[in-house]
Amino acid sequence: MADKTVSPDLLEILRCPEAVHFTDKGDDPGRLELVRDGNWLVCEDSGNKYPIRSGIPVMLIDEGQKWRDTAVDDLPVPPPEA
Amino acid sequence: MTDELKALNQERYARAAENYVVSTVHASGMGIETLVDMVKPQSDWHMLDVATGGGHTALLFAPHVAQVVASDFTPRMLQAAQGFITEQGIKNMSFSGADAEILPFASQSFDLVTCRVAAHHFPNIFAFMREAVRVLKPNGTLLIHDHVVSDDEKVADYVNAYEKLRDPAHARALPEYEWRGVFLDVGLTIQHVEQRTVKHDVLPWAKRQNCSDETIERLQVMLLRAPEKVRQWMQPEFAGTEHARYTDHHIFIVGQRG
Repeated sequence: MADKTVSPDLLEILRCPEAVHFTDKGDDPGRLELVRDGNWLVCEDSGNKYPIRSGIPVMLIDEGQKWRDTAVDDLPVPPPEA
Repeated sequence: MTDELKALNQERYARAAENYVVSTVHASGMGIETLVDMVKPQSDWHMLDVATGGGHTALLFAPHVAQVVASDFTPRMLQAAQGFITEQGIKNMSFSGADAEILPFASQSFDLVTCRVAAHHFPNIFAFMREAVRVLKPNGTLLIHDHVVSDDEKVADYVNAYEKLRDPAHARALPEYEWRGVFLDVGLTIQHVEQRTVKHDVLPWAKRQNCSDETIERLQVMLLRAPEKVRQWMQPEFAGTEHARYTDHHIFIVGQRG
């Protein structure tokens, strides 16, 4: 696991900012899964993938969409600086 | 335009990040210690501070609530804030990059949402307000503190132009009547409104945004040549000198979600 990652409390309320507005993905869309040793957050509903830099998740849609076509196993660790 | 303004915000505030962490105006100006009394937070509350900047508001409330999330559009700013907060020994705070108009949180996650001295940067304040209400729990509290301009449209335009000259990422400060309207439009019951003023020394204020000498000269000229109604609002003093200063007006609004 990365030295700094998202705390369980934050992960509980953090959502993909794009998918959280989806109306066809159930009652709680945009949930995120911590992957790549705590370096990335992946949203199954949107396909967006958000980097965690210095322990801070970068939850910007442009950033998440940029990595949409990158397979989880290919996401760079640590995530590159913006 | 919207995306350009957001990108400009990110670029300018990344460069000025440390200046905002150490800014006395953002840390202790405007009597921000009174905000806790204004809001009356509870020890089991979960709080979100939007556009946290140097993290000063999050730090102020952290001892009074259970958990604080500090968010900002500029990752560099968050890293600076994180370093500052860690030095203070605060344990109940986490950080997230976030666009204020598209918040990355589940609906009804927070008891309190705060946003201080930032809304004038948002291209779409109404979108931010809708999102703030979405992430608030029922009966949750929203606190906004921002620059405020005169109800007189021409005076407001002059002051907004002045602010934009110093900081091109400045979108628009609203007059009080517009703030009241937005609160009502998004379904918030207004519990408290007040305006306060603070004197701004032009030179340190401009240098915090790394303004050029030419821009500082233009700021001085705008103070010197301000029309009478603008002078009444901005109350310029020592314009054209190194001691130039003017009166900046701020608004504090507290609203509750139904």
